[in-house]
Amino acid sequence: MIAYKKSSLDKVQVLRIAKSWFRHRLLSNEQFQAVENQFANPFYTPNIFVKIGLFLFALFLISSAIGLYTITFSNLIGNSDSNTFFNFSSLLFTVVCFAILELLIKNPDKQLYNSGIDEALLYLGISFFFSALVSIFKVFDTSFLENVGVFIIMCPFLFFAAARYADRLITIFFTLCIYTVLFLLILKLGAIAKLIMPFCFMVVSVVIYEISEKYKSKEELRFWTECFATLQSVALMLFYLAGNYFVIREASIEYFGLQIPKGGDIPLAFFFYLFTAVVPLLYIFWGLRKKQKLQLWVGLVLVAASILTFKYYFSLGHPEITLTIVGAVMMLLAYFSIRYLKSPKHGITFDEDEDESEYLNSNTEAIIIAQNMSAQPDGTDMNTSAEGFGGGSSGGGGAGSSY
Amino acid sequence: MKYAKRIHENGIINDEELRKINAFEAGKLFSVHWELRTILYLGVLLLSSGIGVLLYKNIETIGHQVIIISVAIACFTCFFYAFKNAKNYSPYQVKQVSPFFDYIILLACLLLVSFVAYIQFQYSVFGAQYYWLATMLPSVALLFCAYYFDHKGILSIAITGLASTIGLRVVPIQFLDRMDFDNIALAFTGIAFGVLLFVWAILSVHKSIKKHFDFTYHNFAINLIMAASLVLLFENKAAIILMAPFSYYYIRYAIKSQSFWFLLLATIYSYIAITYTIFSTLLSLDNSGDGLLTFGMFYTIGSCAGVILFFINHRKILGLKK
Repeated sequence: MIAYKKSSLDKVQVLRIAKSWFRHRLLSNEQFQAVENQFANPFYTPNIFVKIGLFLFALFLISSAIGLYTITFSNLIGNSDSNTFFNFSSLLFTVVCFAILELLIKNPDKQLYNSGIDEALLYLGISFFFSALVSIFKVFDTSFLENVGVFIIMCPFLFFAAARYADRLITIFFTLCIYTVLFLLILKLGAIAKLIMPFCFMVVSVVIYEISEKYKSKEELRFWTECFATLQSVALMLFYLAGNYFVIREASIEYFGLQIPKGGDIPLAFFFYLFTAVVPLLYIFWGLRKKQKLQLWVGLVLVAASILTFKYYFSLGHPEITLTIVGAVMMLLAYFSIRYLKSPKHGITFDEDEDESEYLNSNTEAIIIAQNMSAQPDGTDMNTSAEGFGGGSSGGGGAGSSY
Repeated sequence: MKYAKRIHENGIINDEELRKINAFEAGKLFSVHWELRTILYLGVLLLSSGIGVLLYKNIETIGHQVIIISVAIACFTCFFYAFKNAKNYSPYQVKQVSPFFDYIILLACLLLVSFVAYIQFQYSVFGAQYYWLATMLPSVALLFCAYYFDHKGILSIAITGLASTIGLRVVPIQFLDRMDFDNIALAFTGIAFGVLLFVWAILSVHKSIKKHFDFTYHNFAINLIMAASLVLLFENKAAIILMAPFSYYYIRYAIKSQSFWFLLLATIYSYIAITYTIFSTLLSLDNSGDGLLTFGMFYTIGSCAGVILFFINHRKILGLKK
């Protein structure tokens, strides 16, 4: 199923974990060297910035190739049949992108893996397919709500792409596609839809989470661990959003024509307030209890979402006071937590996890640059090794946004 | 623990070592180091920006004196703590003992900036003529703090402050979005300041004065020099001569220091410069535009392929070994 060579993917993993053991002096110098020899990384996976460069220039290249193609052939065909031409070209480019992608991955000289070029081809291939569908189904001529077909066709296609290339971004799109189909189908039920919508979303999220949990740690599915973690992060977020007060209120007005009288509130308002406030905290507690970064990070991000939700409806018009108070609370919270964790409690510690720090350090420069200033330690330790599949604990879409 | 089993099967480790590794993996503690540090950092940022707006908004109200005095006290307390607990200055990298130290000094510096901006705005301490002292003095103080307490974040703020004193509004990364170099004189100022930073970065590595600051200096230098040169280039094509040595230097530097951020920046800036020069020359030779579009497509395909090959084989091309 997976496009990349399985034995090579395993080598990347063994190397990564052996590095951590070597750092902790569990492997001697000679042993680590033996691992490096026997599990030499055969992939071409460049440093993150080279990757960004490759991604950008691959996009430029393909776009101008398309431009050239369009100029050349649209003149031959003329304007009479522009729609068919567009559909045909989109499908053609889908095939071409995936064909080149496969060739580059299989290329024995330089097997691309997480190199920026393969991502560019994959994402473009999928975009072309999607734009072909949009054009064939004439999405722009009809309302969004009537186009459940497009998303139903996209689902298996995205699933296939996510599975074959073990890509996290595609996994996110796949999950969102499922939720879109669900949303559009429930909407078709009519009056009952608005009552059951939030709860259907919650149930589906639980199901997705549980299925991923079941398969995540299976030995034979080890190449997709990150994809399952991504599925779980999205499911956790959607579970929360399905009960978030802001989402419920705005969606009720937008899709169900709910009219809220002055001074009134949405039905079950108290439940949704409580849900918005409590769920992120439960996630954090859950993450700490089960020692899972996934829940912890999703929880931390969602706390911010909840604060914004309450701020939106109960604003006193003084954002600067809120900023000051929230800032002070965060500092105090971190201060007392760090003091409390001076010696490890319940298996939780403030000491650096060196593996995680290495993973972060190799990306810190990016973080520093994005933040424009930094209170974080040196980020010059840039390693060219593979980091993509790595860091089982730090996977997921939620992870990225917390930094 | 399947990976440990694999290297065990390959005969790299023996039974005893396999047991040790498994015990190590099972006994790992759950580290919330980065989470707490991030919360602390965001807290400092939110608090200081909240206070900044608070000061600004309350200028005409009765409460403002109370606020300004509390900010002054808070700022003073933070600095007092920092000077009392700091390790002695050393030209090398210093790791402070307390995990809070870096954040407290950062807060102190951010509060200082707000405080000085406020007293200038309210009381015009530096007068209308020397208003620029209101950004320059705190920047110089921050520069001192950055060196004394060994803090790269404060260094960035100090450089930004100095740059804004001489009329540049510098926010890294947004350079191409919002180029505030609206005239040639400013572009030259930008280049001059960039070259100054560039020279200082090289000197500090050479003389071993806070060597690890060179990333920060180079980051400002390359962006200033390149963005300002591009502005000049759009006026006069000769400016490309200005960019070439810096591009070359930074590509070498990137590979030598394994800091590929500079490789990416140097390549993108150079690509823009070269492409602009080629096309503006062609347009000036023949402004009918016929065939230029098709040429453009071929050019983009060819040049992008070239850049990709350069990225993949940069070591070989520049004759560097890993």
